[in-house]
Amino acid sequence: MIQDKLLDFEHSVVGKPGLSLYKDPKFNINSSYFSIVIAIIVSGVSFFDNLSAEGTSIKALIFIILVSLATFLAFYLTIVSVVKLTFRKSPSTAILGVLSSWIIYQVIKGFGHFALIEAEWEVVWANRVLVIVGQLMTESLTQSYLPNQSWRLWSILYLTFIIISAAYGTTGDKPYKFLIPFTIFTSILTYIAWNPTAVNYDTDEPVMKLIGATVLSYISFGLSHYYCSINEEYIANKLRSYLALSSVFLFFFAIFIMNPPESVQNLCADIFGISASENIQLTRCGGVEASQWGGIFVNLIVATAGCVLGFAVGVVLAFGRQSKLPFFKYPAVALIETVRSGPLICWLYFAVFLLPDIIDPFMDIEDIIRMLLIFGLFGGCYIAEVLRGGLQAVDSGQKEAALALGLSPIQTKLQVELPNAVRTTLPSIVSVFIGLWKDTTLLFIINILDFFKLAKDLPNTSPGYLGDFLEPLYVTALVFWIFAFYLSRISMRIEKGLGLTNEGGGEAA
Amino acid sequence: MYIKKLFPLLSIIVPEKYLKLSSIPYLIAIFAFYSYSNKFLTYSADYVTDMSRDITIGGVQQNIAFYSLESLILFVGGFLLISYLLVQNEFNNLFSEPRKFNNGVSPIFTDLLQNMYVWIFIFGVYNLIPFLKSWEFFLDSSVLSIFSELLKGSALGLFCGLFIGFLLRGYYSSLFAMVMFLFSYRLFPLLSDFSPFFSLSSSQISFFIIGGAVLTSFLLIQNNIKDLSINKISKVNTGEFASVFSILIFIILLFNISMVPILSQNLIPFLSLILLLNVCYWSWDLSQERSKQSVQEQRSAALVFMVSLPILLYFLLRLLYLLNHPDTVMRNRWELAYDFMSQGNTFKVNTWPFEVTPGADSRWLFYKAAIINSARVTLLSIFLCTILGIIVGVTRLSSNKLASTLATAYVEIFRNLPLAVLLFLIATQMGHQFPLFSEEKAISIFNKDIIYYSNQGIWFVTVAEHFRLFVGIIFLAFIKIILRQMARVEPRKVDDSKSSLIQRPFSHLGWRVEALLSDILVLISIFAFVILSYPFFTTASGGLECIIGLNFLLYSLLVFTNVDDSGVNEMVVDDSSEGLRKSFTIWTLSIAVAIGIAISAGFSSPELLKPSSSPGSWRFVAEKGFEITPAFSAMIIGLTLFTASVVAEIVRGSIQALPRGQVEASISLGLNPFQRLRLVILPQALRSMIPLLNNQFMNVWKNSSLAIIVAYNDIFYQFLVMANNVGKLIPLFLLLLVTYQFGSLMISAVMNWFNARVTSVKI
Repeated sequence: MIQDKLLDFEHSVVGKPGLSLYKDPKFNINSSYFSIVIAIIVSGVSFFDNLSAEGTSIKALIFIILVSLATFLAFYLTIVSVVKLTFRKSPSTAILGVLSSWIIYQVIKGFGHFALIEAEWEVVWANRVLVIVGQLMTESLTQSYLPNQSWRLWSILYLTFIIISAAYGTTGDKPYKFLIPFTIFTSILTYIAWNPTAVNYDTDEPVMKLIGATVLSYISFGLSHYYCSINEEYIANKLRSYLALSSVFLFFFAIFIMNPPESVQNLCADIFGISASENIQLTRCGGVEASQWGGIFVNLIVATAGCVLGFAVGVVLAFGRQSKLPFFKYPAVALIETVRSGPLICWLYFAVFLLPDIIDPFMDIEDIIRMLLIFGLFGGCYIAEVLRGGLQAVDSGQKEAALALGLSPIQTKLQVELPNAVRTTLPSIVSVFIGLWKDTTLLFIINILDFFKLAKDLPNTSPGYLGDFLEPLYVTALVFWIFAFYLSRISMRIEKGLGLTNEGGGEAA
Repeated sequence: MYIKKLFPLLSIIVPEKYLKLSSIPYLIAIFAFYSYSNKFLTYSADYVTDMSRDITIGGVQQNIAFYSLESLILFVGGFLLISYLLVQNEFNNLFSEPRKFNNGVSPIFTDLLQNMYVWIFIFGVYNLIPFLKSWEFFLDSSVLSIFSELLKGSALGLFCGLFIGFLLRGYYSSLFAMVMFLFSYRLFPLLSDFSPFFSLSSSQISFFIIGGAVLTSFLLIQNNIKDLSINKISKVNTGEFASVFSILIFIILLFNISMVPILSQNLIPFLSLILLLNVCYWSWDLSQERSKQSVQEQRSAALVFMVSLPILLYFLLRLLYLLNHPDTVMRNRWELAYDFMSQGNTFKVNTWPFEVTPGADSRWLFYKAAIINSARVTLLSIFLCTILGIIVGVTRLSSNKLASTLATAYVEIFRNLPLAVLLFLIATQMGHQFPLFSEEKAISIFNKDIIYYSNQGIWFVTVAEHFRLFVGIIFLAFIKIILRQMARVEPRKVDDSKSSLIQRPFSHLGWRVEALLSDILVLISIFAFVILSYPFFTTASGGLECIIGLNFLLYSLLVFTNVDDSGVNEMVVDDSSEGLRKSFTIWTLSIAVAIGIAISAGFSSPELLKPSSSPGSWRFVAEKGFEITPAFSAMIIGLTLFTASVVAEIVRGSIQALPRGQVEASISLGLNPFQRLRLVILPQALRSMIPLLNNQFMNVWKNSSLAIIVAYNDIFYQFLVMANNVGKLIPLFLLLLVTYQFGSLMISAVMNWFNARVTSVKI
């Protein structure tokens, strides 16, 4: 019954009535109705006030409706707690409830006012390609004197979508659990690509390509789902390991395709009949140098390097630290403790100023590749610490059984100890990955044009956007938040799948 | 099969079973290793040649990168010796039980001779003797030079101790390595000095150093020096023969390399070929697993050493070259000398507790101010984020749906935001939100400003003399001690395990006096610490007094915890309503008195001087009012919000890991929610929380380096300013690492002590 539900809601949010008057159920429910009516009156007054102040555009209407709802909730809860004197019976609940409702009201009013009324989001729409791919690629997309290099990114995107959908297909969930969120996600992407506000490129091409990518991912999801459903578990596991290998391969492929080495560029020029006198960089065959990468692509590449290279380095360092031989142990301990003692920003400066002195004689690498190496080293030391706990927790019976079976030390480490350790510590490893993703924002300090730096400096690019310095920052926060939130959901899901969560007791209030 | 058809000749040389597709990775590995070792050994040889070229014109060395043969041999030979000893792994036994001899020599003498620490101590102290000539000389010399002399002495002591130890225990292969090192370091340069016949050309020197490294790795992996010394000549087998033969060939080639032009011109490919053959043979041999476990381990470590030898040699020689690089800028970067820190900084930076003037005060003073700034923001953030984290974490578990949803939203939002973006966002939003300085927004009473806020900072009123505020707090602590003393009763059982005069100095005076005195001791030590260390935090000197005060404080805390642990503190808790009323009145009165003491000297409110009508000339009078800069507030807000979300998750996790029975029992006992939380849940949840909180607090310390985003003058900002100023990157970088490591160690030490106290009760 609605009345019971209403009373239950009030009890849980603001506490039970404090006066014995309210033992009578009719009086109880009538006073609730009374407070609802008063709250409606107050919020109605504020609704019409805001309407006259802000106007009737769609954004203003959304804002006004949200604020009125928040006002209604806040006033209703306050009036109920005052009328029913819930402070006497359970003061903590009452205070919590009333305080939270007012906090919600303030946040919605403040942020809603900013986001829907004050802000001019045009600066973000006008630069959406810039912050995704960086300076050079935007120029090549929009200007005619540079060849269009976007096919490199599209190929990477296609492969990423295919691998991710295939991975979801192997989980064995019901199809709609993946298809519906994925469709929502790609339609949001398509909308962002299609939005005609301040667009500086031809919208048809990206929209078509995104729709093509969605169709391909549906196909790959369907195929892998079908394959895993008709085959045995061990065949599905083989598919999963192939997918994991292919994602590592995708990382190296991404670097390769963005900037192919000289020999490959020359080969391509020979195939496409470009004469040797032309500058290869101005044709389709020229690569995009690492120093010209920008936007969220840089963040993604550096974070992936931290994860992939970091995992490899971390495994080596963890086993080195755990070994009895001092030749492996002392250098591993020294390296891990040194790298972990300084903050990441300190190591980034090391990579920019001091690392070239050591490496330049034998390898001429650019800033971003050095960043990849440093992120790999830094992530590796953190993963080594995490794996150290996991390796210590491996049952010694496993190692003894492997020894009895005649496995060599390297085989024991890689095939017996490491899978056990990774299974136990996988949530911590994923949280290291999330930390690495968030730390890629520090690249702006050394003047690498990643997403954060480009978004931060957007107001300075054009006179029309001079005052809009808050909007790009909020969009940056949102984009980084989305990726990190998605990774943490995956981590929770992995934990549940491996059976590692402990549903303990202990409710406290 | 295909390979046989393509290369019919090959099938004659190589046996049939190796010509398959899966051999291709091995071929690629062989080729890759050969080119890798070739490349890095060539670089190493070039650096050796550059560094050994002696161009002395008119008595002045023209080659800036010149290293004398002795120092080259010391560095490369020392590195090879250390790697040899590590791989051979025979030195661990030397630090444990000494070997007993039964040939009549006094056992004390042999034990002492084999005690490594005695050797290190004797030689280290011997090196310090020149410093102790006079007290002034000792105080004048820098800490770094004393430390490096101590280090050199200890290294020499360690060397001698290891030598004697290896000799006495019969570990002949490590002994052989040490003897060879001594020989090449001491005798070899003498040979080149003595006669022109033995003078070394540059190709000989590079052969000596690089060929010597290859020879070392070869002997290491053969691992039969020990057998050589034991076996008789007639029973020598192939491996031992190979070792001896290689040493002889090395010595012969060393002096006659110019007679074999094939070798002297293709030295590096020759050495790479030797490395390649060894790596191939020994990796095949190790995969056969023919020997026992310890030999396998030693050989695989030696194999890894051999494979990584080119790149390790390259790094070592490159580092040596960088330290004496011909290019001044690069040499400046890598030189490890700290004398620039005693000169003045030419940049002005904003420091709060005390003013540092550019050009006059040394850089150490700037650095100290930066450390105080970082420590301030870290400690305040840790305190605030723990409180906020506990509140949010507990709220998340409450049954109030609205509050728990709000807490969950807070945690989910702030945990996934990057800290750099959050700090920048807060700084920009604050700058946008707060009024401009020229708008003179203030909250005032009776025409005197209480709080003046603008986007350039917040100034608010404070007490005129901070010392009286401190006295008020001491007064409150004193009242607390009196109340504790009045509630004490005779202890039931006193644990006298720690009743020595140092640990519990007042134990002979009876339980009542002892408890009172230990409380008063803590109060006095806090008072003394604040008084003694005040000059340290506000002026340039005062380190000694600060250390004394700190030691006194730690000692008093030790006495206090010992007294507490031994059970002397038994107090009656009066929870009746009359007792509560009494304590309520006592506390209200004492707080009133304390506030009275604190404000007895009056207030100092911020005063804005306006020399002219343009806001650029407006200034606040110094020493009046208390300022919080926008950078500091942005750092505090950002760090607190970010870390509190992680702490909330940790708190929630550890509360949820408690057994259900505890909470149900506390409910059935009739405790209200606050009492449940304070008396039952949080004390038990602390056990699992503390290691995770330790990690988070160290993260706060390291994240404070992001202050550069909001232009707050912390350690990293100072490092950048000084690096831009002087360009001495490596010394500053090492200083930075040591500072951050020291801070992490401090935080870890406190949390570990706390952990030990909380987990001393077994559950």
